[in-house]
Amino acid sequence: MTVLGELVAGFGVALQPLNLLLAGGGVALGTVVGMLPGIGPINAIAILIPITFAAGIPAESVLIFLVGIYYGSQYGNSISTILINVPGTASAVVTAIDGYALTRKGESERALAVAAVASFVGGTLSVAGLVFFAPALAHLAVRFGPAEYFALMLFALTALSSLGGKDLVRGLVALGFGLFLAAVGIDPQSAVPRFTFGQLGLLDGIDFVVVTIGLFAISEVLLALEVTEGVERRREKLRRVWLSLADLARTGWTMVRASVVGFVVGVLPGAGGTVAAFLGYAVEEKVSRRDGSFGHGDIRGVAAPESANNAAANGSMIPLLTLGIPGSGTTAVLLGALTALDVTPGPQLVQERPEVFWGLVASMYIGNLLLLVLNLPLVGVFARLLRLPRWVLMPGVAVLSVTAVYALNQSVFDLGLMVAFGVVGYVFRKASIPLAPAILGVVLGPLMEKNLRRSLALSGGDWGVLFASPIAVTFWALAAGFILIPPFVSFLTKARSH
Amino acid sequence: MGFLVDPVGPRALPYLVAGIFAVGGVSLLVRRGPGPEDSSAPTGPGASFASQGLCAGALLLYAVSIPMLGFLASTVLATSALSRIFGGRWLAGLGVGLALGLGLYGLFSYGFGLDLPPGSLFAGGP
Repeated sequence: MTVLGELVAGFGVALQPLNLLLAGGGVALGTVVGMLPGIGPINAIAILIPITFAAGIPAESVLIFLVGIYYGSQYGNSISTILINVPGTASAVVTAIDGYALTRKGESERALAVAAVASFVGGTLSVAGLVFFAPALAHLAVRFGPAEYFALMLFALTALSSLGGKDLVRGLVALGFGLFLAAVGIDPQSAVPRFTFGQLGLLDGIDFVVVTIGLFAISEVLLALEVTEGVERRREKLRRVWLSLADLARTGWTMVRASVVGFVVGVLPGAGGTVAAFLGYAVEEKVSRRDGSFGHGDIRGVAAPESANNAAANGSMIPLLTLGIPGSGTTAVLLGALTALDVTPGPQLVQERPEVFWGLVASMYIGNLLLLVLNLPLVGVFARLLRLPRWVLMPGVAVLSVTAVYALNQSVFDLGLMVAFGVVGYVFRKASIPLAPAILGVVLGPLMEKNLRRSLALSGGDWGVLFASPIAVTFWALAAGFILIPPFVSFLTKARSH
Repeated sequence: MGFLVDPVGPRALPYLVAGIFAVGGVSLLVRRGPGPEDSSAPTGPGASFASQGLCAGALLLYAVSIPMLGFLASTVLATSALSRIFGGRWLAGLGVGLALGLGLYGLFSYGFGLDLPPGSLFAGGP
């Protein structure tokens, strides 16, 4: 079947009533969690994995829902940024510069409208990119053997550890912690127990959902106890949110350029929405010839990061679906969900499970349209949720976390682990250790080990097989670059400053 | 692939972990002073340690109480306690707890057809 035929079949899946409902619910929930500071898409997705599994719905429907939360959150994060100058997620930090400046001028409606339309443009263009590039990449990836996959995963891990935080060493420590957790349990190949400390509850290993909810959601609850509720809450009512033709003309090309930038950044591992937003903003600042309006409430300064971070979110689905390689914490959790649903991402996914791949892609088109329809008239309703007091919100997050982990295996031991990971996550946050590499280590660790051992078993123990193909060597070189370049650059800048 | 040998074995991954921790530990030791971005970490008054300890303790108690008190009762109690720790009023916390507990219990038992534990205290067995 042609791509167009597959896409039409995908729309057949996405337009089924249940899937349409889940896409709408997913993007609405995504808008809310993206908007509320302290609850990101990663918490929401990790909590909802066991709950959607308990509901017993088909794999493609679960995925449509969870991915909807992911890209929906890229819409929502601009709402709190523009209205109260508190970014919902890190990728909206740049939006705050011009977005909040517009609010102080009394033009929040204009900023919100630009953000919604820019998110829609970024989302829709990048889904088109997904349709175009994903099958091509899948075609290329068919030639990957275990040695190539091992090198690719190593590249993804080093890229995230290096780019994810400001500091390579801290990223590596987080990665090491994740790989350590991945090793816990009975080794599937040799049946040797590793790091189980005689605990029966550890023999099956630690579920990534327990790790993710602990590290992200529970640590967030603990952290919220020390942030005082000092943010000024705006009470004024929003007027009609609608984008004027003049504003659309002013930002049209900005949105298109930023979408392309964001899409490319999203496809690459490690960088993600935050880097995409920064780059998209920087490009537009250059293009505007620095006429001085950027930073003082220029709507292009809202449009650029919002188009870019939405395009990046959708772009990151390409390596996730066609290679099975996540580039960020959230996509790592989605990979875990796919594996648990018995959907193996990779080049075969497009051919063997077209209802999952094309159904998801088609639902992303629909979801972006739903987001625009939801966001323009209903943004005032969403914004009202920002007034939800923390003594409602945070206990809610904690209780949902406990319910989700309990629904996994009905295990009190798992709940204890979750709280312990919550404390670890809190300590990591305090020590500026990024959390995403830990999740990537937990999810990718077992796959990496399996591919390494398989390739060496096939070669009869010859380690040269790891460097035998040009594809593998390229990934090794990229991985080495991400490890070696940051220390080198910091050495150079230090030498210059002395 | 049972007939194939496994030249790598189960030790490689733990050794890799040990290697990463060794490199990370040494570089943190060699580096003098706190990292450049330490100041960007969210800092709060040390006074919040007590409430954070209470919060973690409440979550652990909640976990242990689910099989005994049942999901509904323990959720209502835990939410009220957590709400109080976050500065809410007792009665309001109880309201949040009832809403969450009943909502989740209803979703799981009537929506998904899964039984959350009713509690050994009430049902006379786990």
